[in-house]
Amino acid sequence: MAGKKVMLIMPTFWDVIAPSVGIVALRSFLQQFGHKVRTVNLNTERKLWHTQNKYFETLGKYVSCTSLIPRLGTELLGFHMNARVFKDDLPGEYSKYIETLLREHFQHFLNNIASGEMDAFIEDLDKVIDAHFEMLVEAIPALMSDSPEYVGCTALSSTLGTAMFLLKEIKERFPEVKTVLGGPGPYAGIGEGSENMTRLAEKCTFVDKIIFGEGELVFKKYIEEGHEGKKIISAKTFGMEPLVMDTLPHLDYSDLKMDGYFNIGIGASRGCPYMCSFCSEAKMWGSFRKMSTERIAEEIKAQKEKHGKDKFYFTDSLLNHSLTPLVRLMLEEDIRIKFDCYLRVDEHAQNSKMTDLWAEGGLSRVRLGMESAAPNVLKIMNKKITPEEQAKALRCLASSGIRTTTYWIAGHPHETESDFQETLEFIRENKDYLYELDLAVFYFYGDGEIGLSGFARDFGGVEERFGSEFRDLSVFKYYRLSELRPSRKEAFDRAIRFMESAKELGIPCNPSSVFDLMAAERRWEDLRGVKGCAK
Amino acid sequence: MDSGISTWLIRWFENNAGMSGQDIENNIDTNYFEKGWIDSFKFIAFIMDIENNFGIRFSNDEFQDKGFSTIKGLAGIIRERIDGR
Repeated sequence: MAGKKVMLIMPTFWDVIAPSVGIVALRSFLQQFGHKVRTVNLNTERKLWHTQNKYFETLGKYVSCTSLIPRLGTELLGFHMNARVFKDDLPGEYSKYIETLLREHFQHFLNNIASGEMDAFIEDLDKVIDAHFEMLVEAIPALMSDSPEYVGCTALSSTLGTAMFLLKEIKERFPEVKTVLGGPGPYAGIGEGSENMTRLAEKCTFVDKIIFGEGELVFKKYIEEGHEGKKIISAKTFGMEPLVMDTLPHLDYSDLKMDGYFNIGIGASRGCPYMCSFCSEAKMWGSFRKMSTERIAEEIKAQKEKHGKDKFYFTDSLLNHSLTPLVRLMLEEDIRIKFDCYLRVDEHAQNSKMTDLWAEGGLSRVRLGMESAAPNVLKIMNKKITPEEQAKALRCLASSGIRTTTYWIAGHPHETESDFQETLEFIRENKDYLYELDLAVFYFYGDGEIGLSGFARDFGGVEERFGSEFRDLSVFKYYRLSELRPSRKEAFDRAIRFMESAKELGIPCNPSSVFDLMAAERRWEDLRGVKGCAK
Repeated sequence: MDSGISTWLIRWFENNAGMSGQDIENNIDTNYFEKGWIDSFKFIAFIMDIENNFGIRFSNDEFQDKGFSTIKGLAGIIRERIDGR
């Protein structure tokens, strides 16, 4: 059987901390069977990437609270692009829908905008998106230069708009090419059998197959044997067992411009062994699986030798499962790297001997999901940690010189003003141990969160977020809790107070540019008295 | 604008962004990220080169100065930093 020609694209917008492990893992797997697979990350194309900044700058002309823009704007841009792709399906409602999106995202910050001004606002934002789409059209000849038989795009919430636009254009120009959408899922919790996934399949008439979840075996089967059945397929469709991580080939980054990345990406596990209320990771990947320590070390060694880079970024939901044995093995084998990973506060993170060992083994930065520092909220979230444990971990990690990027949520269901104040107080007390804060306003997806039924029970049930009349533009049905407490307005107010407090304390918060990154790095060097490397 | 500093900056872009000196000189007041001359990755190397060459160290507050995004603005910031050293 002749190998198939496949093009896998990581569309805009996805941070370029490291190359996209998803498409590279797929490429590496398929190549073993003689298929010719090319990967492209559009996010390293500077002009394409810059669209996001332009969109945020445009929002900043109308929205008074600019500090909220990077977080809220990312989701908004995704929704807006999806609507722009399908504008012709409902032209009469398009502007009304975008206005609804804007007002829903920025709430009272847009109260003073009159309808005439709103039209100009939408027009300005549309211009940014249209310019982006034009650049994508210009990129198509280069993307198709190898005449691929299959073109696949990773569809995440922030990349779906570009993915759909590109595949639509490619299908129009090259109808014989099979188009595929894939990835872990376009929105948290939207699984194979969900109503939203079915809607996506119906809307995307220009897409031949949608493969979400673990894609290696499914994609291989599809390109080798074809599939005439339903559009959405997964490992479950074919009764395939989850892959054993140690059997995966080394990641082949050879066709990506590695000079444009801060780190080499590596994924040592799939899924998550924890069940936090706001998350759907454990549901999405099914059973939690990890590579053996020896296999991870072998991958690191091979990538380091091949690319001459010594900075690694683990894409795993959490690395607690392998961190200590991996560090020990790397020290034993004298594998010297700097690495960055997601970590959960556990007993090891509260032990300075352990954090010193991690630092010695190259751990330079951890990303900790703190979410809140109020015991009441942590309990509701099912985080299984206490503020005391969080504080101890921060101090141990920071004292070992490990950068502590911390994620927080404002307005989680049941969070009271007093809970919120506890969080602010915690941050104040631990400011010198915090490398940076990353704040999100609580988001309810209503389609897959582990705490979904409890939230719905406590807050008057679930209702549609934007109105069913816009569904031809929104693609998905989005949800909100009918009587959420704290209210959206209160959550926004807390988010602003959180950011103001961070500013007052001099802690970098919601970094969104390289300048923020440099500032954070400089502050950390000053606090620790060391000179380190960024990101 | 400080000509010595700006010449150094223009030379840096010539060597690292693959642009002609003339192109760069014509755009000293333009955001070099928007022009696509460098990305975040190169920017970090750029800052290190500036600090090493001019014997200065930017403070974390200075990175919030919008002038950082243009050659003209950056030359001004470097001059101020040298003078205040």
